[in-house]
Amino acid sequence: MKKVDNIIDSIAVLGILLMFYRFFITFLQIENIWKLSILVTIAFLVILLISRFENIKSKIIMSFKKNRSLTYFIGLLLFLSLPFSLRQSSYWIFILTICWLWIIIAQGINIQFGSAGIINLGAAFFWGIGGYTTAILASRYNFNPLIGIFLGGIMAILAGLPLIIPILKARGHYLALVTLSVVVAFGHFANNIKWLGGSQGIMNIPSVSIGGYNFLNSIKIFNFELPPISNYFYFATLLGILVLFVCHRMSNSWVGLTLNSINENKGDIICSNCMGINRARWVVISFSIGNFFIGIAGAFFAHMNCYVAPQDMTFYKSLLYLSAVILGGMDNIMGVTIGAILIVILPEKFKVLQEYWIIIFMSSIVLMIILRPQGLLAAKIRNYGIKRQ
Amino acid sequence: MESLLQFTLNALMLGSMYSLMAVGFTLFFGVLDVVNFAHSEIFMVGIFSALASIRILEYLGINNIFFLLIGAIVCSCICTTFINIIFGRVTIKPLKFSPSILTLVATLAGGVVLRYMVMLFFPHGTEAHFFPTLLPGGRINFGKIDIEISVLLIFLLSIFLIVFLKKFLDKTKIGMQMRAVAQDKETASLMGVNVDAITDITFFIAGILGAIGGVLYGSYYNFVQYNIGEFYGPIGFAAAVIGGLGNIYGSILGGYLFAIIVTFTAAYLPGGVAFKFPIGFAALIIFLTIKPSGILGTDRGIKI
Repeated sequence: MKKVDNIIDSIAVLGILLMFYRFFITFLQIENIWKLSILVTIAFLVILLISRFENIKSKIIMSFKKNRSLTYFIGLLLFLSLPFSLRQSSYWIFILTICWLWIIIAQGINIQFGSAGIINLGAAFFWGIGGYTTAILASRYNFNPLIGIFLGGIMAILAGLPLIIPILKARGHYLALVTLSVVVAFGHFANNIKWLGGSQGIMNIPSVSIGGYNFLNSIKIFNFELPPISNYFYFATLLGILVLFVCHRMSNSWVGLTLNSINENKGDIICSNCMGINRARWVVISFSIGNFFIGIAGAFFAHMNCYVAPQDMTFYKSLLYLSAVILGGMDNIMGVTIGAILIVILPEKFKVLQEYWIIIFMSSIVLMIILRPQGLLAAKIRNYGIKRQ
Repeated sequence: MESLLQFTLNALMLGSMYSLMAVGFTLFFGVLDVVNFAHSEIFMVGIFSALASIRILEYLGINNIFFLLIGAIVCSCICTTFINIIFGRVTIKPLKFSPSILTLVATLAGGVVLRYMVMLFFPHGTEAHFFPTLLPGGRINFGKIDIEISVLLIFLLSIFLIVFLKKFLDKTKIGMQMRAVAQDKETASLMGVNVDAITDITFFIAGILGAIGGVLYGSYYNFVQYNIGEFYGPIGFAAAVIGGLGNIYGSILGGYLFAIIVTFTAAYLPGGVAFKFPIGFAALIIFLTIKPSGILGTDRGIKI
């Protein structure tokens, strides 16, 4: 009997994942706003219905928990096959790639802001540092773009280091000012310096190529021909999964606990100092790791788009990156990922709303902070020392 | 020598604007212990409501500059204080007990909402608008130096406003209540201070500051756009911090200091235009490192 149950569970997992995949594709492909809202309503109702019946809900969750490896495997496989289903519209593959970049950035900010409590309003600055570094290295000194992307991250760390002293000294509001002033100053700077291309930015950045294979070629598998952007999609998927893995391991280990203890909104700084935790060291570590992630995302974007310009390095952009973390749920990796995906995909889907979208979105951020300050998914409570049943 | 004087005058002019902006930030910090990042957007709302009232008055056939000025200031004050009080009730009041970082993000997001509201709902909101000169023109001659009357007026008016605000906070009963709320909300409410009313009054005062500052800004620069708040917000905040957040006179000092740094870098450094804001903000970061409480501020931080 048990064997039959297991098979039924696996089939249920498979079916739900496939349904979700189908729904996602349809969601992306529908252009008409009315059809779209009907689809979203139906999906919402189905989820509501399932969550009403405790019996079915717990069964579904149990079957996912039992077949964890199967879920991951099938999920990854379906994700990798997204470009096949979307091969007619390379635009959506591009947007999904942007999604990955936002996830990487949001995870970086989450390590800084969610875990360690260092607010970073200058994410656009570190993004810009990464982009400009690789742009200059690749287009003027013929560096390999892969090395350029890595060095972009390293440069973002180096650019963040001078800020460490004021960050350690300042608390609360003053802390916000440190990173904010950097992004505003850099915007003016990049706009006026000829070496950085002025307000035009740097154009004609070479695209990534690995071992002679240029990313501008389209992929041909069997009879399918995937648009060139899918190269970047797969590359971003690889990077993003790596980042997610690192973040997951970090936040579930003693590192994450240490970072939470130096967070002034969450832990107790005095207490963590008494336990022998060197706050300065951990501030440097969390700030640098976060900046590294943001930097490589910026460098990747520069290669994908073939240009960097100071228009992307505004304070407003930084605020958007930060709101992905706040919307999704601070210090919850799954939540932050969902927040980043929502922030990228929703404005693309609701283009009809134009600038009204910004008003709706920012109002919803304010509402979110008032009504549900922990975000869509709240941070998990750590249960160290308690045996799981 | 002549150019040095000219640059000093420019710095004075800029400094008046910066300190009017900074005093709003410092008021919120000193009274409510929050950073209201939307204050620069309130400044922008002040300009646009003044512009709207001027257009209406001109449509009604009033062309006298004096009446236009009075009408613009009154209408803009009413409109801006109204919007500001609503803004405070929506974003800051419900967040009384949240971490300060979340309040900051909420005001930032609310500010963006205000900015795009103006852009979408003001006729031709995306374009730059012409703002008529309302202050008397002409120049006064002091020996070698020529000073525009409007510059002098703006300088005196901004100083007067800030000193008036300081006296208001120090001498009147409402001012005393505001300072009490700043020190300790719970104790103040135990002493019979209506904290919610004080919050509203703070937003009211900040609205008036934004409105008058907006009219002065518009009539000096003669053109306005919806996104100036994005530009002036960080600068005003920086000026407030340099002078000392929470200290009213500190905002004057910080505003003029920041303006002097920016103007003289642009004037005397080769290729200085690119460096003027980086150097200004570098000065800010150095201040935060050496003396986080600012020049005139008192240190009330925790040390471990």
